Amino acid sequence: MPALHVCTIAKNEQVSETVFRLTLHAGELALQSAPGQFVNIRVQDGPVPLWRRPLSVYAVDRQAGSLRLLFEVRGAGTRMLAARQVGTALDLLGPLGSTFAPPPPAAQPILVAGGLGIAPLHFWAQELTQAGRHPLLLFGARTAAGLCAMDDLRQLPAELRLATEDGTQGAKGLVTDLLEEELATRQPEEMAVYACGPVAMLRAVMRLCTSRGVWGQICLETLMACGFGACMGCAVPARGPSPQASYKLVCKDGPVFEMAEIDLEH
Amino acid sequence: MSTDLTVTVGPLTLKNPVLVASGTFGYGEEFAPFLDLNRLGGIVTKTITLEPRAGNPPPRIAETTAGMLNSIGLANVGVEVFVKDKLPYLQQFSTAIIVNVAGRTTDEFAMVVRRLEESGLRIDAYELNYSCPNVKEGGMAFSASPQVAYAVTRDLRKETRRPLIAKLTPNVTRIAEIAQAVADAGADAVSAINTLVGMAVDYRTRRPKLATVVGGLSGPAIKPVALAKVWEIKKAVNIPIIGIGGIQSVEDVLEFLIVGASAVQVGTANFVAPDCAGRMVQDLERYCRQEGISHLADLIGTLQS
Repeated sequence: MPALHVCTIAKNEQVSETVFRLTLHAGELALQSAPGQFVNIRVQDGPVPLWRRPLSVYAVDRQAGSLRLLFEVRGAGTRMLAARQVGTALDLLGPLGSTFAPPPPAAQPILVAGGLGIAPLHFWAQELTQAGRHPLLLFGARTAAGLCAMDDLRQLPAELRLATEDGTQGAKGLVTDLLEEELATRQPEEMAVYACGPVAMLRAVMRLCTSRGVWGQICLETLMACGFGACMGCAVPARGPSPQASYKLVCKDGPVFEMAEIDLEH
Repeated sequence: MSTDLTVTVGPLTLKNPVLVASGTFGYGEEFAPFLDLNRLGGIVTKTITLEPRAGNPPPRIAETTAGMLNSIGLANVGVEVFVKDKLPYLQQFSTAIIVNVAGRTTDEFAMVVRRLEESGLRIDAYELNYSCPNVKEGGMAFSASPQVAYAVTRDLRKETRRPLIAKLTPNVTRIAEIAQAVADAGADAVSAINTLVGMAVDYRTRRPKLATVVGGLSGPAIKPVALAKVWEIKKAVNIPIIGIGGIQSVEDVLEFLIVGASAVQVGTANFVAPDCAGRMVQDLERYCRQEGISHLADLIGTLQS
């Protein structure tokens, strides 16, 4: 059940030129959050910026009651958040949204992350490995600088493959090239794909999985005014039999969707 | 000393003047995790139409300075599902249930009201959405001209004895003329204001930030406009007013009451602080106690000008 929480900042580290990793004393919220879910943060008390900023849960430490978020400075709101000091109390709404569904027992989870899309998939990789599963993590970005939080990723007991568009780290090319290679190595039912990243990447992932008959889920990011299904601003086109348009709400129906539910082609 | 927060809006008695605005509070249920709905003076539901509506294509919202634009397009479940699945839930709360309705034509409007009347469920009032800027048909057209507003209100008046509240658009030259027209046609109150038509552009992509190009502006940015419109109606027309526009705090509530609103609706603020309307009720109580105000209603329309 989502609720309002006051959480104090334990750490606010800059991990790249534009990306920050925020660690919060979150108590109950840390216990309740599951991979794929997000929190909606009030970055200030006044009306500018007006909305909260939705951020995927990047990691939780249930024993310590801490919750970690990874965010990129993109505008005024995230700039304010980046400037918040240790000890500051933040108003968080959460946990919000849907969670990743476990992979079938015979399938290896393949996690495909583009840029900041690593945030929910890092949490998912943590949980999968704790459950005794062996995820393969494919992580891509434009340049090596976009492969953020590598210190955490290297600590995961998961196989990690990297790609950058300019070839500054890992394979030169797109993370979806890595996925395409991987999908060709096994039968469809031996794999379950989980993807988060830019829409163009997700579209390519969905095309690959659909053509190979591989089951998968995507985690979407959109603007949202509320985060809990009231504003209806975060609609995405749903895939359905009806020729009439229908939509799903990223905040409530998602952010994690079955690939078969969403239409990213239009 | 006990404090009486009760207000009346025409025939409608509210236990306090803090309502929540249509389109910002879902069907009520969405907010149950965050506040006790019994605290509220009333809940105005999302706009209900005859058929379900999927709403407009995304992007539907954009953040602006101290406000936001929306172009949701009256996405709703339609009156049948509303009567079956949504309205029954609200019955348990001791707060006014105000159902916001809309139609593309007067007939369709009437059919929605008729279906709600037949439901046998408690409805304390109807709010008539004459003023949505985000749908192609009908929408704002109903309150853009006094003649049309008069005609549709007169027809809807025949459908129900329950209080009718006409929600007015500020996107007209003289809002008081529209208020007068609906008053003459038998409306019991007006609510003002709906959103202002606005636009936002991304200069890098040269694209509008909304798929529909323009949408409705709400939030703290519009409060001064809303106060001015309430004042304009108050001076010219003898009809109770529910003030709406950028209310975020108890101070904002008090300002609207003083200018002449009998009650208020909290809108966009619900998105950001989903418990805020409940807190405003508490803050009103505290304010009245501190100031020795025994009947909050005594403040209404006390602007010194």
